Amino acid sequence: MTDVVAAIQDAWTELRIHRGRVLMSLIGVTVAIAALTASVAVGDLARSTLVSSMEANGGRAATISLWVETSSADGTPGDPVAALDAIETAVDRYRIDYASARMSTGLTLGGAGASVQIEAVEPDFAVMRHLGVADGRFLNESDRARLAPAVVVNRGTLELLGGGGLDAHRTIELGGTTAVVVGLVDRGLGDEWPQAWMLPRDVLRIARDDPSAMHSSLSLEAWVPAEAADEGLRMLRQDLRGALPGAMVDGNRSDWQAFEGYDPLLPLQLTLVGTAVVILLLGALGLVTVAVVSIRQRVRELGIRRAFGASRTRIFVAVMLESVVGTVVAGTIGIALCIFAYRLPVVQDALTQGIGGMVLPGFPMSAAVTGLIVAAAVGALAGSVPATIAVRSKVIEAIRF
Amino acid sequence: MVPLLRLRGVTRQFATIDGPALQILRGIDLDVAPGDRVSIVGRSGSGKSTLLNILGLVDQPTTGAVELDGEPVALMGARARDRLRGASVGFVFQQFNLIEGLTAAENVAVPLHYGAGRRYWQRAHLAREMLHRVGLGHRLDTRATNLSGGEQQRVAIARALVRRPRLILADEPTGALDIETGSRTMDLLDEVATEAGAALVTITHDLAVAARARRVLRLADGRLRALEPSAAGALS
Repeated sequence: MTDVVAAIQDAWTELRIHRGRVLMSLIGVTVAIAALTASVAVGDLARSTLVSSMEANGGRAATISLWVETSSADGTPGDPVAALDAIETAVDRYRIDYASARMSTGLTLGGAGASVQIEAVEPDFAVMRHLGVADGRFLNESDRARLAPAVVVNRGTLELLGGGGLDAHRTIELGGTTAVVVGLVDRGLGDEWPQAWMLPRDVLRIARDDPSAMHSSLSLEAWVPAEAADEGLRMLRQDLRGALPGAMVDGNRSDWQAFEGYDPLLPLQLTLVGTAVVILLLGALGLVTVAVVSIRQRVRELGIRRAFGASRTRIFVAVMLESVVGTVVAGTIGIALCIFAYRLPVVQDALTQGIGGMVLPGFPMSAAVTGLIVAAAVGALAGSVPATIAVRSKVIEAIRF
Repeated sequence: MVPLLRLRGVTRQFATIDGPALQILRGIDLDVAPGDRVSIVGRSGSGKSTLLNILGLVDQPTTGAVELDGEPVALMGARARDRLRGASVGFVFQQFNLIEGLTAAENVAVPLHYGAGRRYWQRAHLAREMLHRVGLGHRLDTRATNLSGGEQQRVAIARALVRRPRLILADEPTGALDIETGSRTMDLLDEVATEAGAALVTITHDLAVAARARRVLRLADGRLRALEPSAAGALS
């Protein structure tokens, strides 16, 4: 125990004595670790942002989608209510935790005279597609019992009504039916197109009473474990075909991970990490160069320590620890600089540009931990060269000449 | 009585690239008793530093035996030898060899970094106590580079003695000092060594310094011989 504490104390003392040299040699390491940490952090953020974006479009892994077309080939309309019943029965049968029937239609917004795109979805849809609610709430089970249907709108729909917040528009008229606005979805830039979300049965009811409403065919989306996706798809397809004779039922996996071998972030991450590794190597090279030169000037001092009982191992560890302690301190400073920069409003704005309303998560811990581990590893590698030179010096010759 | 340090038939030779091996030491026999005072004189290149390496357990002889307290050093591992050197031998050097950037007290504490646990944790106190002993209680926190030559050598003496070694090896301890300061330094070295009961082996080419010892040995042609009583007497 004493040996370990004493070795660390030796290393710290050496850093203190040679602080000018150490400071100069560690600037490169600080910059290198900051660059590496920033690269890993940006890579993590980009990955999580892109994954969220892809999951918002195609569903989480694994999402299976089935289309149910009840209209016959000659154009005779089918029965969408029967299709919805079949979908709900299938979801209940297989006890799927997250599933939603889905349908699109356009309804006229009373007062504005414009059309709003209505997404008929179940409450699970918000979780399945990362649909964030900025105000109020998303659809829930209690909305099924409402006499006036619940609706969640986006900012574009509110703008059609003259702007303002959710409180200013507690009810709206859609396709001649009064609906209660329960929540506001705000996806920032690119969300100007008027949209609203309602429960499928409410939409079917409105569409039945509004002959002008043309709705798409029904579909089912289910978020299931990846290993159950293929079998689940087959079973659901079979069930729906059986329940809806004459209907066309087909489906596939729609999430981005369904495309094997496709990693859209790989080139970006390889570029970032490659750049950081080059910077790191240059920093380490500078560190080794300064350390090797300085260790030759310190032969006398190391000889003194050897004369007073320091073993070769102790000298090796002390010199190595100097390097490790130095690079860990430098790495910590580099990581702190990264975190500080990450929290600057200008950087936050730059990182969230084009993704309005997005709140950045905290600084990725994985980036900080990676930076610290790499800093220690660089210190150990860079320290091993001067440490080897140090233990080879001869004691008395070092002291006498 | 078992001597503190015993050398028997010690030789040391070094290989050369394209010639015969260099024979530096030839059949050295030496006994150093506890509390002994021995001086070794010799010309430059006579092998004094090679002998110092072996006496200080830094180097191993090519042939022959070195024993400390009757224990053959050759049978010890490198780590054990390093520990034994730290615990039993104190060095005083010609160029003081204090570590720049450290204060006087920190320099004196250096050997305690390699000692047993209790002494390591008490190193600051022990170092200050030793500096008071050599009359530098007022220079504890002064950096080594800001001390005079005499003061630096006193710090070096305090450092050599702080682990209470049984053998002090002084390599040209007055070589970098003027005559008066050198004389005072040798008085101090002798006094604190006596107080600690440590043997003192001084390697020097200064015959006046050598004459202060009870035994004066001359290293020439790789062999160690006692100086004739008449010559030793003349020195003193």
